[in-house]
Amino acid sequence: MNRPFVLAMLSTLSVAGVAADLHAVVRSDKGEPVRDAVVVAVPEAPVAKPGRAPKLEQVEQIGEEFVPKVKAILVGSPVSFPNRDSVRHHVYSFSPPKRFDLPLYVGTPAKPVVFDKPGVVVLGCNIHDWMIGYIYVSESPYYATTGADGEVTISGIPAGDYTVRVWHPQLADVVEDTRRKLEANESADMLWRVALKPEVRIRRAPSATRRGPY
Amino acid sequence: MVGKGRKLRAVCIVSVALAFGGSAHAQWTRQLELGLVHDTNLSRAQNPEDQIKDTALVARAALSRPFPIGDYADATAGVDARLTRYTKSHGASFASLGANAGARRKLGLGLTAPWIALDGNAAYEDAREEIRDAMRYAVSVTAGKRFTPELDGSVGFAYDRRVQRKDYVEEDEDLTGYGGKPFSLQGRSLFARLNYALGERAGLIGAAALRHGDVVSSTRRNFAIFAGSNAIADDPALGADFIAYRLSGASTRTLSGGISWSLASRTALEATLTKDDTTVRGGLDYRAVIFALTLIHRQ
Repeated sequence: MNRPFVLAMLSTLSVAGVAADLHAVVRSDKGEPVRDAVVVAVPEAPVAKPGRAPKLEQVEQIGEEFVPKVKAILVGSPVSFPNRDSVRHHVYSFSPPKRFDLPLYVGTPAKPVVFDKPGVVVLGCNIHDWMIGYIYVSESPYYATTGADGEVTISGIPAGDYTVRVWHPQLADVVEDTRRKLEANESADMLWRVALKPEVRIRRAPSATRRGPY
Repeated sequence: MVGKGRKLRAVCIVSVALAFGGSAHAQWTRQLELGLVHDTNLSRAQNPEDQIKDTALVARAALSRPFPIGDYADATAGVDARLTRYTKSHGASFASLGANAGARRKLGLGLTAPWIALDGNAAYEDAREEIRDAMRYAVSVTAGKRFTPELDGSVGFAYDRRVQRKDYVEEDEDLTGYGGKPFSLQGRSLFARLNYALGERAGLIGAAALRHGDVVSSTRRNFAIFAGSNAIADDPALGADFIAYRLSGASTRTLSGGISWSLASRTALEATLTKDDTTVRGGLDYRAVIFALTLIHRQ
């Protein structure tokens, strides 16, 4: 089991009022920035006024890929899957938090899919096997996804005790949650070093001997 | 007949331009292939002295468009242009223009769900030597399955037919019982293919096929093959003294292996080695080995 390597703790105040910021940095065990890591701070006691409510989200299909590849949403959020390609896609998931399929379509399906259970939902396309995407359904409204620099800041977190976790599709091992107390007007820095396994993707290559996408 | 077929070659060039000159948002899928093919026995001859080794430059452009047929299947229709130019046997060089249609459906949901496909195509081949001009037709039914993220395979049945455009038996020739269309052929095949990904960039290709039907073998004057054939004509594409013989009831076993290397998500380089072993009644067996190196871009 790979333990999170929390380097920095308390730092300078940055936000007025009672909210705190969490600046998260995720690096691979080789020190490279990890893109598309989801960082979630789960309050240990109910929060009176959560920072955000479920809203309509979207995961597009562009160039026969899911965009974004990793999408974090709040539990209860509806997600639409607009197809920006000229070919039809058939989006599906077998993941326990949400099993669904959207039979072959172009454009945007009329009904978004509501993700009502927390967890990780792996997306696929039944036509283009190489297409893979992930929806991280967070039970907490305090979450964000790292960019290309492997960093992200979650702003406006009410003061209190939190369980902070990081998730990435290629995590080699489960990363233990970290308990963290966030003080009002605090800006906390956290750093994870995580081991990543190679990505297993269906090979996408045109062929002179094989016609069709599958 | 050198110089013949300029019109069709022009059509092919225009097709290539159309395939890659248009805007990318259209519903057409475009595929361009450029390659080299080396054939150790282009003449499909038994005797070593009649076996013609040659290398061809091959270009192919294809446009296809999907059409929905219900919530779980798609049909496609397309056009296909090909140029094959041999370095020595110029008369065998040809241009072809064809149309194809197909339908495929996955029988379930997920990576490992099996699928079936029905495909058909027709193409007109315009060779430099008129004797080789022909219409080609093929239909196939294929069933396939992905077994793991790395391995997928398919098996199928195909019927192919080639109809030579002109009959070359002269009225005054005494060839009772012989046709003048040795390039009119038909056959039925069973085939199997396997693809194994070595990672995101490299993949191995394997294929095997068994075809039963007519073949055409071009040799210098040869009584044994004459006696075993049912259609003959001069074949100047391979030499002034070559004659094409149609042999029926032949069985061809094809084994093919290769590697594909992704240069980008839509571009790959494919190298394949194919070995054909053909058995013909009367001991007129022959063998050919074909090496192909193809650059493929799909848009």
